[in-house]
Amino acid sequence: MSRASPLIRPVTVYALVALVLLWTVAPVAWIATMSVQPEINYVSVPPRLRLEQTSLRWYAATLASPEFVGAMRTSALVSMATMLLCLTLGTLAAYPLARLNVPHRNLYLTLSVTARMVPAMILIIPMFLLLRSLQLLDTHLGLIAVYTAFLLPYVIWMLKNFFEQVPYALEAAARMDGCSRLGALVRVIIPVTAPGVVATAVFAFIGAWNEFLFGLILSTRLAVPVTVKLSSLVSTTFHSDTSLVAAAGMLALLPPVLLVFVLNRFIVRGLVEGMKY
Amino acid sequence: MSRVELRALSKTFGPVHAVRDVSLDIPDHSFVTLLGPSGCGKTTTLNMIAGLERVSRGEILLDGRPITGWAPHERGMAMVFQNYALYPHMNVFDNIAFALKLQRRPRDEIDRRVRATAEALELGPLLGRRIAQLSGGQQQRVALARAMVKEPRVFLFDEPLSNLDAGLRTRMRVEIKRLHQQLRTTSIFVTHDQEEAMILSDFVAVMRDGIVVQYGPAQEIYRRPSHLYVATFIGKPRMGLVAGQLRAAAGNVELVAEGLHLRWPLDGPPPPALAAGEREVLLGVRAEDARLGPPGAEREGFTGEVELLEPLGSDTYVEVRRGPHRLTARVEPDSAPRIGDQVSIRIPWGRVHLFDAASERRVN
Amino acid sequence: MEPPCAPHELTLPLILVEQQTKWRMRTTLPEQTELRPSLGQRLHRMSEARFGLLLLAPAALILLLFLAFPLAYAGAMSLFRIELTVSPDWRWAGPGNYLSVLGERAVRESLARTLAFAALTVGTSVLLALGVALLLNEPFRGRGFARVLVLLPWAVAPVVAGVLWRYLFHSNYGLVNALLLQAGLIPAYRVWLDSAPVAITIAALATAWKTLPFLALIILARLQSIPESLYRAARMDGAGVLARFRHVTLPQLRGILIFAVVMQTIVALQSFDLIFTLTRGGPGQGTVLLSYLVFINAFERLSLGQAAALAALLALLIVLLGGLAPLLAAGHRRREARNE
Repeated sequence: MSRASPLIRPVTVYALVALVLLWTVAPVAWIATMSVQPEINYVSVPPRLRLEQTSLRWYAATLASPEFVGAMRTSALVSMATMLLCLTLGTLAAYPLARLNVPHRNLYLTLSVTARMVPAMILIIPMFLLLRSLQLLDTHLGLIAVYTAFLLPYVIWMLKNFFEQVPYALEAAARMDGCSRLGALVRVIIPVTAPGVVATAVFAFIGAWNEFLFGLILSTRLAVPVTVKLSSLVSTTFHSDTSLVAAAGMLALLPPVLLVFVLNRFIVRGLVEGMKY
Repeated sequence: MSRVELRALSKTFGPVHAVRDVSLDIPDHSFVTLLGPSGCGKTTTLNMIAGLERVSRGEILLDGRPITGWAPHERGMAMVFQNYALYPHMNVFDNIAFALKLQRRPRDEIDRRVRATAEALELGPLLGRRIAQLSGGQQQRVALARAMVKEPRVFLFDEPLSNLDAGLRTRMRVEIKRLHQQLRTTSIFVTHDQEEAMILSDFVAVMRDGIVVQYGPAQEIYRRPSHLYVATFIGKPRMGLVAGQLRAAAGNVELVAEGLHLRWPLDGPPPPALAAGEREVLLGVRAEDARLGPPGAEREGFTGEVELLEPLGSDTYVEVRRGPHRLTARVEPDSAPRIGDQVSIRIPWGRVHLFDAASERRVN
Repeated sequence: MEPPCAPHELTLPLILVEQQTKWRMRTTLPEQTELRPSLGQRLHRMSEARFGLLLLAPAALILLLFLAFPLAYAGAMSLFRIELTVSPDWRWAGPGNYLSVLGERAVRESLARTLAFAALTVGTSVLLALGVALLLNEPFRGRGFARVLVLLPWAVAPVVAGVLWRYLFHSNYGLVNALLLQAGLIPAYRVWLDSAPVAITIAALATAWKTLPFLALIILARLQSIPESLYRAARMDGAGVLARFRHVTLPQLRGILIFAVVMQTIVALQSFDLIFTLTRGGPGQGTVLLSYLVFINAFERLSLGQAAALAALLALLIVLLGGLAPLLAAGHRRREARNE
C-alpha cells in the first residue's frame, strides 16, 4: 500500500493534520469571531462576517463591568495564591516522599493517588458547612484553602516524580558544600528540576483558574471566580447581546491559554514526566 | 590536625547490618582507603563519616571531638563523588565557588581562591563553560577543584575514578596522589579496585559484609594478609592456594594434600601454628614468590603441567597444574616454558601464607 | 582545541600550597556548646524520618482539614435523613438513604445515562488521542507548531468548553448549523440540543475535545520512546505497516492506553462543569448525569442525606471502574507471563 504513489502519504498526513487542527481550534475560533462581530452578522442565515464591522467594543463593555472585572481579579488572585501555596506545601511534602526515608512512605503515596479519584461533588456540602463555620464563605481565603486542598495531591505527586530524578550524589554534594537539607532543596534540587517545577506551577494555576463547582457553591457575591461569572452570564443573557458573552468567554479562557503557549516547552515534558505512575 | 576516629560504628537498615562495629583510627595527613567489593559497606561507612548517613550505633571523632550526629556541612569535610555530581545549572566557576559563597566569603577572596585552584588543576580556560560542555576527565577535575577550594579538614572520595576509561583513570590516580603529597590533607578513599588502593594509600582497610577484615599499612596488607579473604582479594594474579594437612615430622614441616606431599626442612622448633599438633590449613603463595624449575624436584614443591601463560611483556605468569592443584609463578619472559611442558614449582617456606581451614585466619 | 585532560607534570604552584595552609587555619569547626546545640543545629541533625514528617505536616494538615474531614463528614451525612425543606434536624436513617436512592427511577435512568456517556467519552477520546498521537509522530513540516497548537483545549476550563460547544451547536448562531446548511446536508437550522441522545453525544464530544490533548501527549511520549531498533527488526522479519503497528506499536502502548482509559473514565464519571453550561441538564432530564443529580438533590431539593448517599455511590463507582482496569491489566500480564 505504500507503493501506490509517492504523493499519497504526505497528502494524507497534511489533510489529517488540517482536520485535527480544525477540530482543535474551531470551537475557540468561532466564539473569537462572535466576540468581535455584531450579533446580527452571525444570527443571519448563512452567517456573514463583515470585516469592516469588526470591533473590540464588546471587550471594552465587558471590561467596563465592575462585576466581571472583579471576577477576573478574584480568579487571578485566588489562582496565584493557590499556585504559590501548592508549590510551597507541595515541595515540602514531595521532598521527603521522594528522597527521605520516611516511615509509611508508600501509604502516603497511595493516599495521594486515591485522593485524586474523589469526586468534588461528594465534598461540596461538607465543604460548604465547614467554610460557613470557619466564616470563610464567599471569601478569597476560603477558595484558596479549598483549591489548594483539592490540587495538592496532584502537585505533590508531580513534584515527587521530578525530585526523584535528581541523582542522590548531587544532593549529597550540596550538603557537603555547606547546604542544610532544605538549603540543598532550594539551591540544587529545585533549580535542577526547574522545568518540572514550572510545569507544576502552571498546572496548579490553571487548575485553580478553571475550577467551577466549588466557586459556584462557596461564593455568592464577594469572591466569585470568573468561571462562575461566565456561566451566570450565559444563562442570564437571553435577549441581550451574545457578543458580550463571547467576549467574556474569550477573556476567561485567555490567561491559561496564553500561559500554555508561552511555556509549552516545559508543559509538554512536565505533564508527561509528572503524571507518571 | 585532622584525625578521624571511628569507634564501633554500625549501620542497620531494618534487619540488614550494612556496617558492623567498624573501628578505625585515621591519623592526620594520611591517605586511607576503604577497599572491598560492592555491598561490603564501604560507601555507607564513608557516608556516615560525611554525615550523609545517620549512624545507628557507635561514634565518630574528628580531632578528638565527637561529631557523630552533626550535619554534613558542619564537619568541614569535602567529598568527590563517583559520577562527579557537578551542579548542571551552574558553570564551572560557580560550581567551584558554591561552597565559598555559602560560607559568605568576601567576593574578591572567592574569586582569588577559585582562580588559583582552577589554575592548579589546569581548568583556567574552562571557568565559564557549562558542565555539559566538559569531557569526563575535565568534569572529574572540576569535582576535585570543588573539593579542594574549600580547604577541608578531610577529603572523602567515593569511587571517583570508576567512571573514567582505563587510560584516564591511571592519570587521575597519579594526580590525586600528587595532590595529596602536596596538600597533606587527611583523605579517605573508597574503591573496589585493589590496585588503586595499593598505589594511593598509606593505610588500607579491607572490608567484607560490613566488617573491617584487616586494617594496616598498604604493604602489610599485601605482605601479611591476616585473613584468607584479604589474601585472595589483594594482589594480581590471585594468590595460589593449596588445601591440606600441615604437620611437623622428623625435622620437617609437611603438607599432605590430595596427591601431594610437600616437605620443608625445619631448623629450630616447629612453628607456633603447629603447637597443637597437626591442623587443616590453606597454604598460599604469591606468583612472585613461587619458583619454576626443571621437572622432578619434589621436595619444597611439586611437578606439574603448564596449563596457561599470561605474558604481560615485562613478566610472564605461568599457571602450573597438578591434579586439583593450581599455582602460578612469575618468570622472566625469556625463560617462560610452553604450554604442556612439565615443570616443577618450588614454594619457599619463608614466603608462604598459612590460613586455618576453618576460621580462614592467618596462622603463621 | 581542548586542553589536555591531565597534564604529565601537575605540580601545584608553591604559592597555592602556602595559601592553602593559611586557609586551613581559618577553616574551623563550628563553634558549638556541646550541651545544647542551637535550634538550627538541632534541625540539621534531626533524623531523616522525623525531619521528613515535619515537612509533610503542613500539607497533611491542609489535606486533613479540607479533604479528609469533609469526606468523612459526607460519609456520616449519608447515614442520616436530612431534609432542609422540612427541618434542619438530622435523623438516623442507617442504610435508608442508599436504599431509597437505589430505588429511585431518576437515579437508575441517570446511571444508565452516565455509563453511556462515559463509554462514549472514553471510546472517542482514547481512540482520537491515539490517532492524533500517531499523526503527530509522523514527520511533517510544522510538526512542532502543530504539537503546541493541539494543546489548546487542555488549557480551556470545562465550563468554558461547555460555552464554546454550546455556541458551536447553537440553534440560531451555531457554526455547525451554518456549515451543514452550506454543504446541503440539512434543509434548515436544527435545534441540536433538544434531543437527549444528541445532547449526550455532543457532551461526550466536547469532553473528548477538552481531554484529548493530555491523552495524545502522554501517548505520543510513549511512542517516541519505542526504540527504533524494534521497527527495524520487525521490518527484517518482513512485517508491513499494519503488522508493525499490530505487533510492535500496540504492545508497547498497552500500558499507557490502559492508563488513558482509567484517567478518562474518572474524568467522565466526574463530569459536571461542562454539562452545566452546555445543556443545564436538559432537555428535560436528558443530560442529568449522576454528579448532576447529586447537585440537584443537594441544592434544589435540599435532601442532603440523599445527596451524600448518591455521591458516595458515585465515588464507589469511580473507584471500582478506575481500579478495575489496572487490575485487569495486571491479570492479563500475569497470564501472559505464564504462557511464556
